[in-house]
Amino acid sequence: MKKAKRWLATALVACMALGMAACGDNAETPASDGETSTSGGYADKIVIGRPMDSDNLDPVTAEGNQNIWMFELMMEGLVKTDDSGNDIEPCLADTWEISDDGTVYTFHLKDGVKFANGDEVTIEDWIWSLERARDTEESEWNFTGAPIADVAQGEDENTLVITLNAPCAAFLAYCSMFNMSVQEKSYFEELGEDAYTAAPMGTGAYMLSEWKQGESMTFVANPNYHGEAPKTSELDFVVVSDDSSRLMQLQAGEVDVMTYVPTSAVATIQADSNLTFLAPESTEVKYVMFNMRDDIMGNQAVRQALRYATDKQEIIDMVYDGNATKAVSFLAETSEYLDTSIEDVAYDVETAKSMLAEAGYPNGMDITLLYRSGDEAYEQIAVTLQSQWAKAGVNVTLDPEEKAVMTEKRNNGEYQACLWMWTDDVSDPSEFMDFFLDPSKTDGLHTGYNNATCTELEKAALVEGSVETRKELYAQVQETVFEETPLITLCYVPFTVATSVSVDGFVQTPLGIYRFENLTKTVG
Amino acid sequence: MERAGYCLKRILQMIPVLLIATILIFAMIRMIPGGDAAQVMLGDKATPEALAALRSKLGLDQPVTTQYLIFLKGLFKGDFGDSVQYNMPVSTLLANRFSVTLLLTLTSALLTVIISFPLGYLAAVRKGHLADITIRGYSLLSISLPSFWIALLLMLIFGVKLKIFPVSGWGDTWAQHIKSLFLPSLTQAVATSGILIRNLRNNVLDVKNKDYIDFAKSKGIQPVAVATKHVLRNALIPTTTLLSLKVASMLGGSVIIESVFTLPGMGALLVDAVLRRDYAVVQGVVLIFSLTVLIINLLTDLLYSWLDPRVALN
Repeated sequence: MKKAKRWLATALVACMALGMAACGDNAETPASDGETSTSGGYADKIVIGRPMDSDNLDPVTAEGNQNIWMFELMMEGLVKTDDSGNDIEPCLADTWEISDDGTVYTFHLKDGVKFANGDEVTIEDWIWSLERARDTEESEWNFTGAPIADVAQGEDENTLVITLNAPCAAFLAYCSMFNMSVQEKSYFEELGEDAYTAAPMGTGAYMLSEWKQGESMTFVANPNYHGEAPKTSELDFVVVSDDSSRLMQLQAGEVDVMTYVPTSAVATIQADSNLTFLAPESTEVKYVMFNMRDDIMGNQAVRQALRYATDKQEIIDMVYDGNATKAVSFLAETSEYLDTSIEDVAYDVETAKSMLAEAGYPNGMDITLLYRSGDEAYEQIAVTLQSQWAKAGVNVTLDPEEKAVMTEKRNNGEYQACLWMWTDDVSDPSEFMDFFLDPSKTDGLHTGYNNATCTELEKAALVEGSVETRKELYAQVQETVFEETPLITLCYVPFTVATSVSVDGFVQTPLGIYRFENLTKTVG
Repeated sequence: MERAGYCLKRILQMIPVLLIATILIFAMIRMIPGGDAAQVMLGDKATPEALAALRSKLGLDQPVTTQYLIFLKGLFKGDFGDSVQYNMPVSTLLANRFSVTLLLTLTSALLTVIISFPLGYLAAVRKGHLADITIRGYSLLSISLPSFWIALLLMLIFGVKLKIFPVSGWGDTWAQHIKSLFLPSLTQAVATSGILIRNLRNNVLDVKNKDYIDFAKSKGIQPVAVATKHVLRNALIPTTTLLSLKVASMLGGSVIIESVFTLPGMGALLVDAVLRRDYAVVQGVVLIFSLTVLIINLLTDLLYSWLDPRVALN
């Protein structure tokens, strides 16, 4: 009896073991996809891992980098920004003239440009595209089209004349923005606006070839592109939402490029000789904003005192391992309008304490700090600020919330201090300035900040033609904002990207635009 | 015949349960703070005008009861509404993703059985010996370790170091799908097997001491037959029902597993939809999950009555 029992038990375990081994034998090492075919030592396909899938690829109605960075590969406009993110270069318009009063722009279009489906780009397509950019109510980008009074054909079918309501200094920058790219009217009307969000089409170097929702998005080189074909003909953006999983895929060679590298992974990547860490400059600026309608935070002296209690260098060192730069004013680091003359205050806890005492808080105070949960950087910044401000007697209660809830609380003014950030979508400060300082737009980026002089100045700068005058106007605004402290800018943060050592030529402009013409992966 | 009548009765009983489920989920998702889909879609740079225009377009500005009636009406036609995030009918999304979750759950259940049934039996017959102690130790780990940690560990070992299986993702061909399913299924199996091993071990120990086992042995029935027809069959009854219930809860576990392994299943869809306040998708997924759980419960009851003739169906 005992023997039989033992035999049965052993047999069952053996079956289990065999089953496992069988699974193991059938499996094979997954080959890195890009290595199957090559041309001139380069792979035909590069796989890029990103944390989030897109949801809407219509450049007029979409929002969020998960969408913008994708359709920017496919779309082109009259002009484009250069790799520094600052200057305007010709794109589909070769040259242009601006009338003396600044209201009439005449663009001379490149000849023979085609959409990815082979159809020629017509003036009608341009007119329709620009009008759609201006007139779509639910679009948050229609500020770029708002200055346009009329779009029409000029003296021939390669001339486009745009007449503005009033002079607009930023108009050329607006023309470089993705929602002002040219798209095909008949194609849009055939698909309908809902289907278009999943299958847009443009004139760019790449075209969308497949989108598996929640899994991957594949781009192939546009056969009808007017310029030189990109070096890698296929780009596969795969969604890997978990950060650790995405890093492991890079280490295992399943993806060649990893975007959104969490700060905790940077050291691992830098220590790995098979991987490269890149930190392209971006326009992202992280700041802590204050609810000006709050009793405590509405007090300017309190806000200024907190600036003395903030050690920005420590935040950069602890949270970003030194991979960030101190921010003083709120414009992007790369902007030519950044007022670099503003002197930041030195980190000085004693001054902070005495300022708080003078403001009526000799024993410090209790405040809450709202921020988005689930984001390593925000969590670490929050904890660091908490310990820094504690030294000045300010006791911070952390209030992490899921993104949607945080957004609602902030927009409804249910906070005292809040961590957030800004990134530019246009190479002109007017976007940030207007959103921030025109109270009817976002109520001072939801701080409640309302300074009529600043609003006047930025509105004037909107229409001012001279770069020098604009610099003066914007400098005044930046100095006032620094003084009145509706927010304290902390640091400029770069994009974080990790690639396999075989990948070369990864370019992302400060505005977030991927320039992948020279992106290659060497094989063998 | 009796079985058929019973099934019909149970299916009819499902309808009011599902209806209540729809009301609950309809209300609950709208009670989450953080605004609606329009706010989420437009993000920070939303101006009041853009928000209003988008809300109107999505029908979010209508009263809740109207929205519910529209939803119910659509349900009877098999129309779950449209996903505001993906701009396609929810039913299409569900159809694409249901097979992934179903496959994941089935392979997880299979691996769970392969792991837990032999180990549970072995632990019982080798009670007190090294095998038993080791298996019970494994069981404890399985119950206490969080599933996402097990997932990351398996990914690291089998995906990065040994490169036997893909770290994550679903793949394009059927062969790739099978390979992609192994680590996620193994994770769920490891996480679930602990409690099943314990349960089976206890049941086998319990049954072994019963009178009818001694009686069977004394009748001269072969040991193998005693072990299978009498010990195992009786011991497996409660374990199988526990397994069925665990399979139903694996649907909930799919939410974590699919997110960590990036499998395009319904669990990952649900997480995403909740974060984006994509109401129609959440409602659709929860409804399908509820229906699946109800069906699994029905099958469990039928299985139980088949395994144990002493149990009556009503």
